[in-house]
Amino acid sequence: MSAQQDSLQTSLDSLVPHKRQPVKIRIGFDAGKYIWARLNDSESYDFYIDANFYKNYYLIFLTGYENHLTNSSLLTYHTTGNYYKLGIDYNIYENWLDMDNDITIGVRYAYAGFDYQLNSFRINQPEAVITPEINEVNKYFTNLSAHWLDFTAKIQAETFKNVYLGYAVSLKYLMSYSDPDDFEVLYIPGFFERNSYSNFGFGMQYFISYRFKF
Amino acid sequence: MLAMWLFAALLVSCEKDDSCIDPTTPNLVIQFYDYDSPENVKSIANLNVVYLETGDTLKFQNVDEIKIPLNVNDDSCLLKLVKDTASDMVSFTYQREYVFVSKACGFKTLFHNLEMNVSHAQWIKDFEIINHEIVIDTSAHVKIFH
Repeated sequence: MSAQQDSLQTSLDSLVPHKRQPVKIRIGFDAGKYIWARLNDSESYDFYIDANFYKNYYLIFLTGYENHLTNSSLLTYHTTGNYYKLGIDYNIYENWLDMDNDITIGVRYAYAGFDYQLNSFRINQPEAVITPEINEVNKYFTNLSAHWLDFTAKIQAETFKNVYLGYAVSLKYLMSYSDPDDFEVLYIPGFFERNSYSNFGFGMQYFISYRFKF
Repeated sequence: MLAMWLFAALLVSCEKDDSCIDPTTPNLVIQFYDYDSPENVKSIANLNVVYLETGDTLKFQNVDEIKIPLNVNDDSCLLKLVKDTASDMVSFTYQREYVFVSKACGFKTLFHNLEMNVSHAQWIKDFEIINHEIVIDTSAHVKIFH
């Protein structure tokens, strides 16, 4: 655009009454995790709210509750707890015409507080002749916590008027976690399973959300 | 959009599994020594270890050391040690401790205050417990003299 056009545009803008950018607030629900949990004798309720507070920037807050059953050949335990994530997303997608989709990249700080109930375990004895029995213990490990960062890329597509389907992938970096006596932090609500070879984790989420404009 | 959801669902199934690399429940290590010259090991041509609880048998040939799993379900393990046709009853007693190892390995059992008793001795002339704590199985816990 030439300097002349630019100044013309500016003078036109000042003639038209200023059109206010609508405040866009979206609330979403992780439907994928909710269904997956239901199919695996667990519970998950994961919500977020985001607000387009400045140009292409969104402020996002996520919270969730999980009651997660882990059932392996060695361990059976329940994880119950809440998590909270606060972060900023940046929209990198240019919409055509009046479309209102977005592709965002962002970072969130996350905290989870949770308890374990160790229901039972089977001793690991690789060369066992007498097969180890299952030990029913029902032992509790309470007041555990973890802190991590989520680096998230997310697509949100307006599928019906104001209704969005979203898909997000996250790389997670665990910064700290509790160290209970006689056990270890394994599953973390909002993070998924901690692995023993690194502090990184990976996650995916499938959202349904609704956007309010006012 | 739908295609993307399906693609992502496929990705979920390829997450790397942890595999257990740490030591888990240790075995009992028994070494066989010569009764007549107790400094020297003395191997056994054919040795069968019969677990009396289940009737399972472990077979060894030309061994001067065996590593055998104990019973993690009880504070004792009853064995019949059969050398050729001679069979001796050996019982081990201990206290068990459960220790969490890792997500991939789960829990292991450690055995404390190991005691041994031999009855109907036909070939075992003497024994010595050299380590009452079974926490690793890289060195002998028990010497049997024959």
